[in-house]
Amino acid sequence: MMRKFNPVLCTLNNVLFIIFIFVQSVEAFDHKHLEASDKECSIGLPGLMIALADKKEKLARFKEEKFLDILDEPLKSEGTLHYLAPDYMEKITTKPEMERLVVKKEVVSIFDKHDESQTFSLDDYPALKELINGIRFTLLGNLTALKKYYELNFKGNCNQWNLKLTPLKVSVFGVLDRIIILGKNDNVEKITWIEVSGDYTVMTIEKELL
Amino acid sequence: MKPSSKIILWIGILFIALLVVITRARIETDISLFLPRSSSPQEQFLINQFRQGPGSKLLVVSLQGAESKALAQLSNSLTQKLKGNKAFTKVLNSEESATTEIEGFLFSNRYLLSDSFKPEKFSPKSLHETLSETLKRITLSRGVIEKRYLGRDPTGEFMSLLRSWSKGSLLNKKHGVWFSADGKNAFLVIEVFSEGFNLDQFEKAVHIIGDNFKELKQNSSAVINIVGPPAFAVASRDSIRRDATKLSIIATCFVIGIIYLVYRSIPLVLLSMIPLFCGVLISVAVIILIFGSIHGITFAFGIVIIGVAIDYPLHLFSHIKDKESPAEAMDRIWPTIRLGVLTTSLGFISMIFSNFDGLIQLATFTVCGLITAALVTRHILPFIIDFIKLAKLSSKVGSIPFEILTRGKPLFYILLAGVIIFVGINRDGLWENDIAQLSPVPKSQLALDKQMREELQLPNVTYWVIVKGKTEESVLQITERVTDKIWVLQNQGALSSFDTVTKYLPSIEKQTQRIEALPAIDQLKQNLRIAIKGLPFRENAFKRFIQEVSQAKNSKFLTSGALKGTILESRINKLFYHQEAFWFSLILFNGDIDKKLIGNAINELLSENVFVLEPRKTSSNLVNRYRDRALLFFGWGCLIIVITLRVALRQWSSVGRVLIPILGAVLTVIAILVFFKVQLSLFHLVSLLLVIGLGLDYALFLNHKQVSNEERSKTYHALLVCNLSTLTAFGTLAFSTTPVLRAIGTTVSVGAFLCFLFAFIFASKPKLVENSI
Repeated sequence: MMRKFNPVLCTLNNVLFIIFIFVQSVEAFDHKHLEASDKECSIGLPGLMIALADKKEKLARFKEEKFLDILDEPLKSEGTLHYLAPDYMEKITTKPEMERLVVKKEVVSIFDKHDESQTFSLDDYPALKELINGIRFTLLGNLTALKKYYELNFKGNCNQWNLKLTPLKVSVFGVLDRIIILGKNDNVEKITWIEVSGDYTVMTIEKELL
Repeated sequence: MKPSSKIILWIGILFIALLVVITRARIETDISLFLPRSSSPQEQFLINQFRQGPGSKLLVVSLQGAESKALAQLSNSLTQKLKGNKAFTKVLNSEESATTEIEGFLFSNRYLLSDSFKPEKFSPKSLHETLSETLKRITLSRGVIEKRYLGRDPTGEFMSLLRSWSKGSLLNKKHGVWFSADGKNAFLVIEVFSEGFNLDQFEKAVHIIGDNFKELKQNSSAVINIVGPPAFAVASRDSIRRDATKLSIIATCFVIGIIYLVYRSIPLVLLSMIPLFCGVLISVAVIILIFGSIHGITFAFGIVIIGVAIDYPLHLFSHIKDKESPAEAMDRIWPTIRLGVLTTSLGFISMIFSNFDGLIQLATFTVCGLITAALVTRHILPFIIDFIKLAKLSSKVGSIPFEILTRGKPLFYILLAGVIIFVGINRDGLWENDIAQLSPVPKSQLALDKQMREELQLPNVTYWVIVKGKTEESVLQITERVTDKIWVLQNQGALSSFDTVTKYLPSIEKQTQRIEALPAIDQLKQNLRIAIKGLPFRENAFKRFIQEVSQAKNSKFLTSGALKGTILESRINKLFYHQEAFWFSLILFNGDIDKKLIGNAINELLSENVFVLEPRKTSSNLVNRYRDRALLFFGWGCLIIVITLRVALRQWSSVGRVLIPILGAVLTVIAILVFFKVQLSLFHLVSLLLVIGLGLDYALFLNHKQVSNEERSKTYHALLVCNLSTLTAFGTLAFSTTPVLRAIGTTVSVGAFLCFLFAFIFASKPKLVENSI
């Protein structure tokens, strides 16, 4: 099968996936919206989506570790994540170096520490656009649209749960095998992003700022 | 031979000709067959390029008139639909992404292909720096793809190769497909499959696109616009065809009307068409038998030139006297018609020796057509007229004192002198040297095409650099030297991008250099050990890298043969190919370019084997050379005409009376065209051939010894009818919007009128033997 290949796409896939999962999970367990299900401590995906549809903005700190097969120790970074409905997303890395990744409507920009940026349009990367739309559908609480891109696997109760996302189309994600999101109560604690090669990335959400 | 057997023989011949035409008729449209054998490397190359030129088969399709989302959807579904069709070799509505196959090829051949690799990159210090930089990028968002290849390609040769392969500049897009900058037009680029510059295949392709579009758009308000060389070629042919059909119907109606008004007989109208029709039929059959097919250009020009044949039956009709059988009338006028046919035919015969396929076909067509038409008029028509027992014809124009014109000689000579001086002064700009000016494609379409090509950064069709050589390796080496210069320009930002075979297939020399630059494996291992000090790499982190470098050192060199059957083949076969003992490599530029700048950059490398090709300029040169050759044979033809007339008329003074009016008419037509700022083309030349044929006909009849006033007046009648029908027929064409048809129409109608006028000036004084009627 012919597979589309694109370095920028893959980079952003990874990054945006993390943002996506992060925001999705965080939003999903916003306790204000889930008071009803809290009592029984059971939660379903559809209920989550309904709650998400209400949420307009998110801001949180993160820590990230990348485990590579050829490295003795992981590569560490940290920063903040920001989402503003319906189509603004930002990942600011503060350590080890300043970097800002912004997705605004159809335009993606990466700013380095000197604030020099690379900008391109999502229209140039249909696969990436598909992914962004997936995130948007999640944040907008659109379960039907989300199911178009991933196989969703949700387990557990409000004390301990996990959500597994497996890309439906191998062609879009290429290197990605699956994503596992762990959470407790109304918090997303950990997002693990596993590659086909065995390398993996763990993002820990430390603190919500909003 | 008895009349009945003549008619049977005639029907038999017509039947055979018809059979030949029906069973074997093939109209050739491949323009390259009509081009002269050439000499300069540019011309040779161009003619080959008519068969497989890059860009010359590219169509740009623009969709507009609906919301951008709907247009994008249409663009996608149209692309999907057309992709499976064999009429196209390429259908794109967004960049062609590198596929895993190309990715794999690039990865495993990265050390052969990469231009950026330097041995210093593998030094301990440099490796250490590269690795720590890469780790930093991987930690951040922008290095995730590098992570994938870090263990196998720590210096990132693959990534830089990939970057140089995908075009640097990004085209404007919306909803994932190409759009114009203003977002109103969705663009598709389609390459048509065609053997040579074949109009029929182009036409089919354009129709398939249009039909699919109609089917897909359903009720949407979207409209399609197809531009590009194949579409233009088809459109010009269509527009010429449409124009020609429309105008020839109008012209035919006029001519039929005139003939009917003059003779008041429908059968005669029909009969007057028979010789010309037979002439065309026999000519086509003969050409098919000799050449296997007839070229569209021969057919079109041929019919124009033998248009004079319609005059033969008119002469016959007008010359029939009271109480005289048509055969008797024919016997009287036959010597004059025969001389006219003979002279014109001999004039064309010189072209048969031109060693020039197009001209030979044209000459054959004309000679066969004229002789057939004359013979049919001579041997068949009188019997048909007899057979259908026509009512008596009244054909006299006694009242017009044409003789008065013979007093106009001094005036004519003054005019002639003026014309010669005028043409002489203006002889420099006489010929149209840019054939594109003759294109009936509207300027707005051409401008749209140019704009779209620039927006889509398609290969520029006006400027190529070509390298030619005896061996694959020599051509690749020279191409590398040329592209080195062009790289410098691109790095300076002087041009957007260009494509060359050596990107995909470097010379063996270059590949050897690159492989030799790789360090010894033990050295590399040691360098790596030093390099990873202070970095978090595992001890055997680069096992695969070392393995792959050692494989690369023993890898087979890439050759065009080795790339056959791979996805790379289609990518390079337009840039590099073998033809008739030579290898050719093309360097193509995308978007708008500064020709002068490139010319200067590669100037010192230009030679017989490295040359710049500007297709439009070269094809104009080709057509102009064709015209010059035709002109030469035109000159020889005139000489033959003079000699024939001298032999037939026995006196130079008679030859003068016949030829001076024609010469005057031809020169005056040219002067008139020049005066109206019309530059002459091949089409004018062809039209002048008809003018000469008509002029000979008029002049010979007016200098033919008339035995009676009645006959004299019948000749006037005949000439008047002939001239009037020619004037209306070609006068109609003069109003065409197609430059080619307009050229033919104006030249012939003005020329025919002048021939008519001047022929009277030089008509022999009537030395009439008055017969009692």
